[in-house]
Amino acid sequence: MSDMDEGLKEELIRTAAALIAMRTWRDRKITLKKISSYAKRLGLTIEELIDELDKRFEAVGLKLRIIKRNPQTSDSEAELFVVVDPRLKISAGTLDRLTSAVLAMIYVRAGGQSVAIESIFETLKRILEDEEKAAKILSRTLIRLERHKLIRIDREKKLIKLTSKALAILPEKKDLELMLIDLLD
Amino acid sequence: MKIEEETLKYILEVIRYLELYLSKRVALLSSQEIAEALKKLSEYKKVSEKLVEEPILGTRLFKRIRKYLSTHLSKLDVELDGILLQYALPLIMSKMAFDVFSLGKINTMVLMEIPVMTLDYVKSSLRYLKKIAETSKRIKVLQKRTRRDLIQLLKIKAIIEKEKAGLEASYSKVKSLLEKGLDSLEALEIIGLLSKKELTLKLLAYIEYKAEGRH
Repeated sequence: MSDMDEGLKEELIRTAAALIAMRTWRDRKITLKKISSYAKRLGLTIEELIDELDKRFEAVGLKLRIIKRNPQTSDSEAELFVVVDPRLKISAGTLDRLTSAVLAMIYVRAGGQSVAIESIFETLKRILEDEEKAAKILSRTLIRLERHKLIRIDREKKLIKLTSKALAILPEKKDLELMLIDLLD
Repeated sequence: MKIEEETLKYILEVIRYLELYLSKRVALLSSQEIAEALKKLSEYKKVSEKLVEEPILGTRLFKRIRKYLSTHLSKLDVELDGILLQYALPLIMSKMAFDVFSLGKINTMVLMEIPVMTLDYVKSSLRYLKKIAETSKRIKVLQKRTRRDLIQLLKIKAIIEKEKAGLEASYSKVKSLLEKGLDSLEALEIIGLLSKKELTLKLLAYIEYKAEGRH
């Protein structure tokens, strides 16, 4: 490739990276399908472009997350997110502590599936040893999580489901599981 | 002759003012100016004479004044409505904004932020939950203890009251006993029959009884 081509290639990769980063908190996400046009122009496969972006984000303490909510949809519909690497040795969170704790609990209990509100309430009650306080904290945090579009609540069935945004922001499930077991012991 | 001319000129000037106001070019003059002009007009004796002499001019002036008054009053009415609306508007605006935001109908301009939730943060968040649990447990224990102490105090108070009631009959006997001193043979005999707690309660009852000045 000529110098000119290298410059163009660099610009395309940087544009794709910026697009993913700036849409992470927005409603309309960047999907693999949207990124594929950049891969085509770069003469790369989508996997190669993702690898390249992953490397670049990793180098600056970020993580590229690909979330496919529905197994029935095609891979190209998977959403791309950029989040701060949860394994970094800093204590930082976009949400307040109570909301983060409840979100982590929901993730451990539900994963990518739905979980009954009752089950989260029971866990919280067990930790706090106070039914009234548990109910208060849960209702407050669920409202916040719903407002941030991190969960969807089916009020008829009394089920909670994490959105892809929540799945992207959360650390690894097995790490959280260990923490929750520690807390409950 | 000069005065007459000046009076006519003045009347015509006021009419021009009023017409200017009525032509909706209100911004060109303030209603204060018109009010002053009309006040001045009413003070000149020559004006009324001139208006009688020239009825067409008089009719023209009074027609304008009548129109001015109704226009000015309706303008004041609109302005008052505007003030009321301005007063209520902040509340309406905040309610509208709240409704729109809570329905998530619009995308607000937000500063870009990369979402973050590190493992260390989740760990401290879960610990925070535990801390809340411990604090509320401590508060509950304290509440229970306070209640227990209160019940005990009330029990002691009831015993003292009972002792005080008993003192009514035996005050002189107790008094003479205490005057002889607690180390007297008589006192020691009685003390020997009482437990430490009973003795303390009886003494407390005696002190309270005396402090109340019943004897």
